[in-house]
Amino acid sequence: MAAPKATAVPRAPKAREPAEELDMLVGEVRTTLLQNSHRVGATTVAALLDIVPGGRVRSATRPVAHAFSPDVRVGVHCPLATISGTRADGAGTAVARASVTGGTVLQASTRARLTRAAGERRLPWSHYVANPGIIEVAGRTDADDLAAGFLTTQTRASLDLGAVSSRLLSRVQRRPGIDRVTSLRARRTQLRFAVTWRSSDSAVLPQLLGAQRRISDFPSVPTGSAESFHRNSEPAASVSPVSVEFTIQDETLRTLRLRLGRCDPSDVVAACEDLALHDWLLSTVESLLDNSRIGVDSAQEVVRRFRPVIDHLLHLWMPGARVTEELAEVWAALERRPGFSREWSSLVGRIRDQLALAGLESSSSLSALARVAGVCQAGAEEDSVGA
Amino acid sequence: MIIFATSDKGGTGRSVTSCNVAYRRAMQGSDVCYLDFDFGSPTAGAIFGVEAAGQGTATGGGLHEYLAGRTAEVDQLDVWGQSELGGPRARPLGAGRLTLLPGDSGGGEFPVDATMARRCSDLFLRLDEEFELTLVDLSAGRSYATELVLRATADPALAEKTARWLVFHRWTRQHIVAAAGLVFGPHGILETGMDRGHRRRELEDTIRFVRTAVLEPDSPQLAVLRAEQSVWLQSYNTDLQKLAAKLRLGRSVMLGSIPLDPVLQWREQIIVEDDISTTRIANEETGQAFEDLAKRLTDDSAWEGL
Ligand SMILES: Nc1ncnc2c1ncn2[C@@H]1O[C@H](COP(=O)(O)OP(=O)(O)OP(=O)(O)O)[C@@H](O)[C@H]1O
Ligand SMILES: [Mg+2]
Repeated sequence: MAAPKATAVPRAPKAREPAEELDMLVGEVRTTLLQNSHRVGATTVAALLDIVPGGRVRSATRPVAHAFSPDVRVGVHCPLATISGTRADGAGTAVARASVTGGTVLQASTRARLTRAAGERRLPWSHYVANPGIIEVAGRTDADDLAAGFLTTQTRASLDLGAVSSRLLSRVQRRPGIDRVTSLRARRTQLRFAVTWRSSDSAVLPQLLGAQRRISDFPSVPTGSAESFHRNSEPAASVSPVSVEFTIQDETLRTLRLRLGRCDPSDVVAACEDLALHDWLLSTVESLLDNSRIGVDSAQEVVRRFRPVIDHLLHLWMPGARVTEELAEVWAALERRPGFSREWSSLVGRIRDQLALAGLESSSSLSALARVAGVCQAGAEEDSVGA
Repeated sequence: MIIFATSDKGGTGRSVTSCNVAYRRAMQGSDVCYLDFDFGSPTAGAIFGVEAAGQGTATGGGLHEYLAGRTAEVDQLDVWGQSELGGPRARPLGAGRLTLLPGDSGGGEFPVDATMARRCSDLFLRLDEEFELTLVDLSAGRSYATELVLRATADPALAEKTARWLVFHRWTRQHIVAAAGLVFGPHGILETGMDRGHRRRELEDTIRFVRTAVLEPDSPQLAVLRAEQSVWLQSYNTDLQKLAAKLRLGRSVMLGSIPLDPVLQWREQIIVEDDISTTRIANEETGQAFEDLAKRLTDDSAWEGL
């Protein structure tokens, strides 16, 4: 598939200054269930993530066990998607890492900073290797164009950091130390992110007023296009340097466009991984609940079906646990809309209801048995105990 | 669980039966994916009624391109959303996912190497994360596709995964002999499997046979036969049963028998409830046979070692 050519674009975008400064972060997190019959202990996790000779696996035990691998470097030389169709080429390296949370959830994230190439010519590899995680961009395009292209119009030929993450997931899933027996089937989800930075004075620029948010609702029925809505113009007093656009593109793809004040890119990556984890928890638990035939089968049967959720996933909900102070606003925005924690508590509520019902069912079947045996009195007592 | 569908001869009804079984299984509530590994003539898209992949996909994202290393990811087509099977392009209530991983239009057979086998086992592992059933339609005969999946399933990383084989054949002398040859004969599944690191006994226990387009002698469809024909048919059927038993294709290793259905005789399609009870173009027995076969895929009692 040929890369989009500038000449093929009917509506030529406004002329862009090639010398315009470029500094942005793009990446993609893929999340799935670690394939093991039970929660994996810290030592095994460390061995699983030990994928770079001489590298060091980092881990934390609180608030939830979390460990991540050293960075893996990947050479990149390919076209970059742009929303305008303007031609852009990237050369450099991306870096990827794998992580395990709670001994249960496996993630891989790949990221790169995009900077402006000094010239149109490709340099020797030694140049790019010396700057891990940086892709130099040649082409008359800007950050917004690249961000939108990266998030929504990737082609088979263009930069695909998700494919790198996906391969890394598969690599970890086939390592020794896990038995690859699964108690729960869950889909891999993808969170694509693009981040630009606002210089301190940029808040006065007109288009940046009003901390624009475009965050989608959870679509009830999958539609061809992304379901999202616009929420604009917060009161002027709450103008913040942060803008967050979270969009659910389809059943598995989410995009996140961030405009941030100065902060450490590695903190942003951690925040995106954290967001991806929670989004995956939501999607996974929701689809399990939807397919557990609530109201059709007995509550006990239903509970049996989502038992693995209770055993393995519920306790992992800890939004923002690995998000730094500077980025707390990102989580806060997502909590307002679409309201991650609200959504989660409603799911947990549904699970509790089924558990309570299952309890009732078993005690009422007990009391029915008791009645048959002619000990109504004892049965009634049991009822109240069971409930 | 991974299920491989194969047959020695072409045109046995392998694809039509497998697609119908995948459909039934999804209707029963399982998440199912269907992989079109018949690289030379991918037809699953047409059977499911997914237009975008009628004769394989043209996006460059089919299985052939993936295995050849030309694309990192395979297209996953939601059959409910892209066909009329479940009603107006939506998943029926209570049904599981039904996902098609298409072949590529203009693909073809290709020799297998180690990297390809690795990509194949990666794909199986990955699909097994999310699907209860991965159904793989191989091409007929001793194909590269068969060799490929035998290599992939011998990968130690797949040791804990259950893989099962369905060998389709019609109920004729030649088909019975051919099916036996494909499994037990030279360069057959067992021999190739052993070359690739499988244990013969264990592999054999994972193979079952499915008879397609069968006319049972007592079928009402045969009521029009003359007495002489009936008698002959009875006795010939008994001969075929003896032959099948002798060649180790007897009833104990038969997982299903699909009756001949006039609809399928004329059109490769999924038989839905409407075809049986509303328009009544298809026979109830055919639907029932697909339904039973779909259940038996994971019914361990039908797969006990012999
Ligand atoms: N139960 C049946 N009754 C009548 N016809 C059937 C039956 N099952 C399949 N057929 C018909 O047999 C023909 C061959 O079926 P199908 O394409 O599924 O075979 P195949 O084994 O996949 O062939 P190939 O090797 O070419 O891929 C089709 O026309 C199909 O509709
Ligand atoms: Mg076929």
